[in-house]
Amino acid sequence: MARSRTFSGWMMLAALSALVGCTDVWHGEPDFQAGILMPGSAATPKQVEDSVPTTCGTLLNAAPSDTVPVTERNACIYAMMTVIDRAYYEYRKDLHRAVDVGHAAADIIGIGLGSAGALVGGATTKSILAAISAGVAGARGKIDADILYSNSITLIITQMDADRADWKSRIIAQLSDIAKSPGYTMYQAATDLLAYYEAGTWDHALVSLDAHASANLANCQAAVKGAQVAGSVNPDIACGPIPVVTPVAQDVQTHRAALAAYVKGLSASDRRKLSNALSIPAQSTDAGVLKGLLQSISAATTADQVNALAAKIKTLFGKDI
Amino acid sequence: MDDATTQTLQTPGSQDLPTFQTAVQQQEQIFGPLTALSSASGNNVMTFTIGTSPDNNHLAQLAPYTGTTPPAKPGFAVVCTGSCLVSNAVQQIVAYRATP
Repeated sequence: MARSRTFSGWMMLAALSALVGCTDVWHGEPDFQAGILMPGSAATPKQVEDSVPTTCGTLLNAAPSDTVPVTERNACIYAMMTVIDRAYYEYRKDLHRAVDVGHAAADIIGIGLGSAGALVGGATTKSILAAISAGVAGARGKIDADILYSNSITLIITQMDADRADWKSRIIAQLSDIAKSPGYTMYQAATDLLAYYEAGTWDHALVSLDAHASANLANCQAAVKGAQVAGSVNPDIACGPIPVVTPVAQDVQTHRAALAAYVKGLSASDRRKLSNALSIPAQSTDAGVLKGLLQSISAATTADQVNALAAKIKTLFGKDI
Repeated sequence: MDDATTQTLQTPGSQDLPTFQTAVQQQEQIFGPLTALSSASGNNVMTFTIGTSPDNNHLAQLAPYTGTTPPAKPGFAVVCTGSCLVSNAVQQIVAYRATP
């Protein structure tokens, strides 16, 4: 019974392996045999890499309820992480080499951006891919496909690095946490290791790049759902791109901080008055009004822009800031 | 979800740590205290809770760290940690805030 549970439990991983098993760097994944994360059977013994302890095979065949020795489990997990890391670094190196050589059209065909594009929903990535596809078609036009290609790949590699670092820290946290560690089974470890591997793949990076666009989409969908239920759109839910900010000059910042503190101290009715005067889109709650005002202050990055905000306050409330 | 009580902003991942920290501190002075850090699409993503801003002595201070947990810093509390970009390289970053 326990063995049958073990088998069924690994079916999901087996299905995933069909998606990730690949040996060609240009198909968007490191050369890593995900099969080493799955149990074998007596008839079809699992092939374990030399660098992975032989006891890992036994551990992977344990039922979820079986207690496995923590030291052996950790040795297995770290060994498998090393195998994944090694494959990833080779893959990453090849991607960088492609960037250095920089002949977009031929290489992109190999990467298969056409299918990758279908995976993502955000406008930014889609436009990059669409532009690259234009390069593949030979119509380079005014866009230098090589530069676009190089920048896109660098961005994707950076995203892979970030996602892998995130998963690695999660796995190590599981091993290090005295409370959680004893209950961290090889089942969970194998699933996490598969996710760690997947974080270093092309497709995953593309989806991840769009995560924030998707978060905004979720907000927009929530706003639409709210409208369907309540009959009106809640304008206090953000539904758009996340603003990008950079530091401003110290004198400008001092002025902005003073304006923000003043706005936070205003009454709700005065805040609404100021919001209307600045033509900020109407908000249903005072919190929404305050947020809109602070966004206006944050968006003011020059002395002239900040002075213009201060002038509005002077006009409305007679206050010099 | 970014509702009326929180503000999410991005800052370029190409910035060095002091510049990144200045970006965080300047927005804290406008929106309120930093609550989360992460990275996406080549940028660092910062989340702030809208409210009273920390005074100049209590603005968030960023530091890189390795390992699973950030080192304790006497007189400071950990605000949040995140996988961020510093000069376009991925680093684990911790945000500290001076305790009263």
